[in-house]
Parts: sequence; C-alpha cells; structure tokens
Amino acid sequence: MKLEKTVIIIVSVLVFTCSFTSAQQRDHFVFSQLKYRGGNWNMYPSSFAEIMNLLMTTTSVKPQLRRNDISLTHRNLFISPFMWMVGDRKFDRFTDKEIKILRQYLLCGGLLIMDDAIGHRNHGFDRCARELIKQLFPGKKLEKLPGDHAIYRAYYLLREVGGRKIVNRHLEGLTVGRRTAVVYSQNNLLGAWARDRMGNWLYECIPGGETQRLEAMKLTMNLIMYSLTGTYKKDMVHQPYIDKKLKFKIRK
Amino acid sequence: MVFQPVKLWIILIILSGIVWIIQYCFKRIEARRKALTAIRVIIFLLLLFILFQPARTVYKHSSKKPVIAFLVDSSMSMKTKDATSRFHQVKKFFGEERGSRFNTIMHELGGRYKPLIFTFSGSSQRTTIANISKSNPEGRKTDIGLAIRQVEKEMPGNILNGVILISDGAHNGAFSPVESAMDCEVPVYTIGVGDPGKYIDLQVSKVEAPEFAFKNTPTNVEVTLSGFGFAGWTVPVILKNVDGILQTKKVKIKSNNEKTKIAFSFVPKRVGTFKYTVNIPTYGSEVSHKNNARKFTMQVVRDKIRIMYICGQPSWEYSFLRNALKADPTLDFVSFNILRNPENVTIVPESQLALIPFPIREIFTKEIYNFDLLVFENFKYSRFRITHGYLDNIRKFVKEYGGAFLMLGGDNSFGKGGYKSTPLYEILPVELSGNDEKISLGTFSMRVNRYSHPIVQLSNDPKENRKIWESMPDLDSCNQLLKPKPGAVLLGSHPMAANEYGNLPVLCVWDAGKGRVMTMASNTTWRWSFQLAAEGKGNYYYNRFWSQAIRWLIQAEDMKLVHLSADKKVFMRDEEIKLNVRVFDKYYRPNNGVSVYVSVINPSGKKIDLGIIPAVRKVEGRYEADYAGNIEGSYKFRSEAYKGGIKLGADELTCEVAVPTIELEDPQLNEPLLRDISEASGGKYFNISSISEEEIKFPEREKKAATALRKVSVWNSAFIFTLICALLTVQWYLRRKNGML
Repeated sequence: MKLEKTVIIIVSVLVFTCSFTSAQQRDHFVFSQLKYRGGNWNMYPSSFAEIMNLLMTTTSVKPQLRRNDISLTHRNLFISPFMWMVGDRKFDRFTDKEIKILRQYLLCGGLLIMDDAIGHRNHGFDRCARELIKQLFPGKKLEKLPGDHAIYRAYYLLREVGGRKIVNRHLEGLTVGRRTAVVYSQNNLLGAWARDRMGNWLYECIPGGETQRLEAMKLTMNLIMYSLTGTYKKDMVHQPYIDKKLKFKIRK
Repeated sequence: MVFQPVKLWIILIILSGIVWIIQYCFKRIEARRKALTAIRVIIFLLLLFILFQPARTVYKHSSKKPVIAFLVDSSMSMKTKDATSRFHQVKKFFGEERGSRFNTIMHELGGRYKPLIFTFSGSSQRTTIANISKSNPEGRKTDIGLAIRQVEKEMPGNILNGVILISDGAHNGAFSPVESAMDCEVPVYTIGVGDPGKYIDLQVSKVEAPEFAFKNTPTNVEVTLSGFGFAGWTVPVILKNVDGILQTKKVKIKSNNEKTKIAFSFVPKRVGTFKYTVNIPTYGSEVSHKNNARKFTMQVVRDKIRIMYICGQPSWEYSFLRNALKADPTLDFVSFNILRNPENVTIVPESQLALIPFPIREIFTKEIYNFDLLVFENFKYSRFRITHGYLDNIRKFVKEYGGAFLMLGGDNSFGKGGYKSTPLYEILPVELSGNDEKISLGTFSMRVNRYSHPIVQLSNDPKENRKIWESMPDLDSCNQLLKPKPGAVLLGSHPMAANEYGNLPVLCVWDAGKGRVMTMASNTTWRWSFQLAAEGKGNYYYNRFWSQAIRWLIQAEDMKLVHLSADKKVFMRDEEIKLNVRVFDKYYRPNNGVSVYVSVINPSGKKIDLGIIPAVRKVEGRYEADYAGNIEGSYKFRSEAYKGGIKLGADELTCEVAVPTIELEDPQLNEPLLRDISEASGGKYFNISSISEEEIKFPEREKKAATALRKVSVWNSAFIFTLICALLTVQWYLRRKNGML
C-alpha cells in the first residue's frame, strides 16, 4: 500500500513536471534530450545546467531551465525544434513509427544534434547513428560541414571544433532542403561540460586541455544559436565584419 | 401574297365557322341587327387579317447586261511610293481620257459588260471613277479575301461575270484571299500595283518584350529588322525611353528581306508603366518611314518586397519566419537579431564573436525608407538608445510614406516594451495599458473573429477555412493588450482570457495614414508550422498565413479594397475600354451601395470626369464603365470609392490607345499572293505597268430567273387602319340611333 502511494506520488510529480514544461514554455528556448532504447541516452546529466548557465550569462537567449527529456512518440516532442542525442554504445534500431516521426520532425524545422561520446568509428554509437540516417533518408549520408557553415559563426567565430576527445576536426551534417537538420559530432561535446558535485570538471579534454573545452562550449552555444537563428550570420550584412574578424582565413 | 402554311389552314377553319354562324343567325334576326352583325364580322375579319401579318414578295428581274467588278485597294499601303505613288498609278489606270487602261479593257471586252467599281480596305464599297480620282487611300487594313466575298454576294442572280482586283497584295486581313478566289464562281484577274525593283525600305518588323519587368532585374527585348535595298549595310538600332537612350547596337543587314534579330538587355530602375521605342535611322529613299520605329509599353513592378526584421532576442519565431520568408523568391529579407544584451558577459575577446554593431542611426533615419515592411519582434527600443525621434520616423514611414509595420509580442513588446509613451503608439491598432502590461500565460487556440479577411483565409472554402482554424495548434502566452482602437479590425482574440473590454485582442490590423499596421500579441506562431508537422500536415497553413499577412500589409494589388481593371491594356483608337471596379469593405466582403467615381487623364493631359459609374446588377460589389479613347497615347484612369461620405479607397490604371500601323509594316508589292489569287479562280496576273488587255476574257454565264428581292407587308397600311376606325364609328352610330346604347 505504501509502495503504491509512493509510485502514485512519483508519477504525479512527473506528470506535473511534464505539463509544466509545455505550459510555461512561452517563447523560451527548450533543450530537448532524446530518450531512446538500448543505449545510454542520459549521459552527463550535469552538463545541462552548465550549458544553460553559460547561455544565459553570455547571450540574450531566454532558456527554459528544465531539460525536456523526450522519447520520439511523446506528445511533447514538437514543443522544441532542438534535440540532443548523446550515447556511447550501440542502441536499438528505431521502429518505423519512430522513424516517421523523426523524419517529420527534421523535415519541418527540427534540429537533431548527435553526440558520440565514445568516438569509435564504425562501432557502437557511430555505426548505429549512421544507420539511423540511412533509415531516415535513404540514399543520403552524413557529410562534412564546410568551414564557412553558419554553425561555425552563429555566435562565436570558430576555427576549431572542440569536445572532450578530438576524433574529428570537423562536424558532419545532413542537409534537408536548404537547412542542415542533423549535426553529428564524434568529439563528445556534452562530456566536456560535465562537472562533479564539487564543481570540478569530470573529464579531461584530450589532447587540447582547457582550450579545447572552451571550444566545445563555444560550439555548443553556436549549435543553440543556429537552431534559433538559422543562417542569420551568413546574411550579406554580416559578411564584411565577419571576414574582417576572420582575417579572410576561412576554414577549408 | 404569302401566308405561313400553318396559319393558312387556321384562317380557313375560322372563316368557315364564321360563315356558318352568320348564315345560322341571319335567318332569325331583324335587318338592323343584320347590318350591325355584318359590320362586326368585317371588323373581326380585318383584325384577323392584321393578326396574321400577310406579306407579298417583290421580285426583280436581273439586268440583262453582265457585270465586271473592279476591286480597288484603298488601304494606306497604296500610298507607298515605289517610283510614283501606287494610288496615283491607280488613278491613272481609271483616267477619264479615252486611252486609259480601264477604257481599253472595257473596249477589248466588246462593250458587253457593265463595269461596277468598288474600293476596299476592310469591307468593299461601291464608288465611281470620279470618286477615285478625288480620294486618297486611308484604309487601316487590307482584307482581299473579304472584299472578293462581299462583291460576289452583292450581285443578285448571275450578273457578275468577272472580277478585276487592283492591289499591292499587302493583305493583312482575316479572310484568306486564295480561298475566297477559289470559292468565287467567276475568274479574278489581278493587277499588281508597285515596282518591286524600286522598293527600298528598312523596317523594325517585330519587337518582343515582356508585358511586365522587375525593377533592378535585367530585362530582355528582342528586335527583328528586315529591309529591301539595304543588303550589306550596317545600321544602328536604338532602344530608348523617356529618360533617353538606353542602348544602341549596330547590326548588319545581310540580304534583301532576310530577318535579322538583335537582343537588348537593360535594367529598369523605376517602378511604373513606361513607353519604350526601338528606332532605326530613316533614309530618304525609303518607301515608308513609319516602320522605322516601333513602340511598346512595359510595366515595371517592384523587384521584391523588402522586409526588415528586428528581433530583440533569438527565438524560434524568428527562425521559422526567417526560413519561410527566405524561401519566397519574391521577398528580400534583411534582419537584425540581438544576440547579446548590454548586460551579458563575454568569455572570449570581441574579435572571436560573430557580432556586428547594430546600425541604429542608419536603420531609423535612412534604411527604413528603402523597405516595404518593418517588423519588431520582442524588441525593447530603450535598451539600444533608440530615441523617440527615431520611432517618429517609423510613424512617418507608415503614415506618410505608405510603409507597413508589424509588431509581434513578447516580454519587450507593446506596453512592456514601453511603446505607449512613444510616437509609435499612434500607429498601433491596439490600446496599451503601459509598462505594467502583463503576459497572459498558457497555451490557447486563437479565436478568429473575421474569417472573411484575406489574412486569415487559409482555404478558399469558408467552411473549410473555419475548420482549419479550429484545428490550428495552440499559441503559447500573449501580451495582455487592452482593446482594438476605433477603426481597427480585430481578426483574432484570446478564447478565454479577457479584460474589462472583452476577450484579449491577439491579431489586429488597421490602415494608418497611407500605410498599414498589424499587431500579433504572441511570438509563438512558429507552433502553427512545427506542431502541424507533428500531425503530418506540413507548414502550408503557416506559410500561407504569413504570406497573406505580408501581402496585405504592403497593400499588394490583390489586397486593395478598391480594384480597378480593364479587359486588356492596349486598345485601338475609338475602341471601347471596359473598366471594371471591385469594391470591398474593410472585412473584404463585396461592398454594395458605394459611390464609385471614375476619371481619366487623356494623352493631352486633360482630365475627363466620367462621374459615378453604375453597379453591375446581381454581382455584389462590382461597378462598370466604358470609355473610348480617340487620341493615341496613355490614358490614366482613377477610381475612387465613397460610402457615407467616407473614402474607402482608390485605384489607378493606365491603358494605351494606339493607331494601327499594320498597313505600313510590310507594304511591299506581294506578287506571289496576287498570282495565287488569279490562278485559283482561273484569272491572270498583270503588273499595272504591263497589262495585256486582250488577255482579259470572261466566259458568259447562264442567266438566272427573277430573284426575290424583298418582302412587303400588306397588312401594315393606313387604309386598313382607317377602315377599321370608320366601321367602328358606323357601328357606334347605328347602335346610338337605335337606342341600343
């Protein structure tokens, strides 16, 4: 009886949290994290608070201070066009229904960030992630994003791609229509944000140390900005200023 | 006399009946009654006679002398001077002296034929030799086919024995001359007027230009030249408009009558309707100078709708709207998004930030006037040292310059953004409470108040439109605005949240001076796009809503309340220009009972008032007028609609009235056509300078019996009418005399 009561209370709190998430969203940025089967979807839970903290203090973005953990079949999936998917191992193949929903999500304006926390090429998460792309858009594959892509200049001017562990010196992405709808990092971006309860960094950034961590943070900010402003920084009005700042050295 | 067969037997039956009744009655009645009855019967028979409208056919017996028809081309091309004027040669042909070609031909035919002379351009008319010698060729077209058909039709019986056609063959009519000649039962001899060897002409034979062009966008015009007697010449071709010469190109004429094409490409710099001319030089020896220039009119429309979007903070509203507007090739989208507020810190040097200065002064003093629509989303002006003077420029941009303004909701918009105390408040269609304005939290489905307004028409079917709105995803939170200002149109409101004035206004529009303003109290319309995607419906309705909103704001042609149109843009002289005015009310319903004034400024600059034009019966909100222009040039029409003394709107339209110059476009002697005509009918072709009169021969045709010419009504005479009146009078007199009245 006591156990039943406890379960009811927990469920009520969860439902309340869920409804609170959608009711109070207003025009605020909502960070969604994808819950999927078979893998480790909830790595680095402490990173979210760090990201929100930096986002609020350094930009004008108003975020919702509660992470929207969401599965593809949940009704609240479409309250946010920004979704992070992190993992360090193989995950279960998505069902046809999930694939249909995710395709719809990406086609109609959603952005999916796929963050490989282990960085093993053609194994584990990487293999499943690439399979997922094939399932979503047969005939398409992830491609290297060019150095002048809007993501690299959405807020910070990036010359390097950061992360906890540098596996690739670039991001990969999938373009749907005129928009990059999927961004794939193999450098474990979220891992670079993780802290322990005492406020210390949980993981060392390899091989670049704290500079590399800073780049990971800047890239995360840029991904959020890209979701909110699209190719704004590619507009003509910005070009002279950005070119000047980059000293005409554009990433190749 | 003739009666219709059916009517005849009816008359016989009625007459038999009457005779029987009279015989039967007369046996029983006295003499005076007999007389009265007889008068009545006669009156009745006379009325019956009138009722059946009998007529008699008049026959005319044909003339015993067969006719030869001379068809003389009197179109403008006959003015052409090859060596001498073509029509002068015709006059000489008919010359009254005995040795003229005409007299020789008639003499060679042995005096057996009666000559009838016709002139033709469009249709043929009887004339005389004397008239020909006095007249000038002024016809604006040449329809040889029609002329042959008409002459043959005009001759009753078989009195027409042959046709002699005198023309330069520059046919430009609708009836095929060869087919008409083949159908003609008599031979057509053709006499060509003109000298191909002495024909010298250079002409702009064709100009292909689009009816519409976009400002600042290259436009292509293709010009075709042709010429006789200019083979090997290089001539300059000039394209110009009222501002002067746009382009000049040199082109080499390779050989006689070979079409040479030149392409011009230019960039129109101004919006409006403009006249352009393609010119080539005129040379003294040319037969016509009128075809050395060709005019055309082109409407230059704005290249793109220019939108400036100022966003107070990055948002998905901005992101989705940006994607939708950027995808529309008719829009030019420029935006400034405030990515960092003054209070935000930075973790890297400025040089590593992709931020640019916000060019406040340039935007609010110069740039806004280059845009059609200015959008503020969640933008607090006071944070960026934007003065009331700058905001007053926005007010002027809308009220005086006809610009459009859109404010979207958020924490920094409307009253919360401090706009109540600024000049911008004057142009907003809603009343604000002030800085203490609150946000109404929670999701809600916007209730549409005016489904007829074009902004909220997501389907052309009203029922479906309502259904779509009822199933649109919820918006999330909105600014608590007070109420629409008087004159504003409330298009959408909060379904539940209300204040002392009623439900909270969400979507409001109005006309502010020359411009238009729209307010949307929420900045979460992106949900209409993204959440419909969850239902598999895509972003069609979202895109349509914003596309219509923008078109309404910038007063696009199809969003005007008064719309003036004509069935075409270019008219011939004296041709009726049918003007059509559609008038809507501010909710875009057809507006009846409106006074629609139309005026026109003719090419001489004279204003002509057409007054109030009538409404079209059984068509709501539509008014029509006709006008015929008799001067060549541009006619500027203006319609203004008033109701209850209030001006609803106005619209303008420019039409061109042109004088046809088709006759002078290609006036060379067309010998092959004239040969084909004569061969098709069994005749022969001659040039006017070398006619062999003895070769003109016409076979005798069988004479036809008398031909019915016309029908004459027998009943329709004054005598019958007088007779009826007299009989009625006699009857009245007899009845009175016998005390029967």
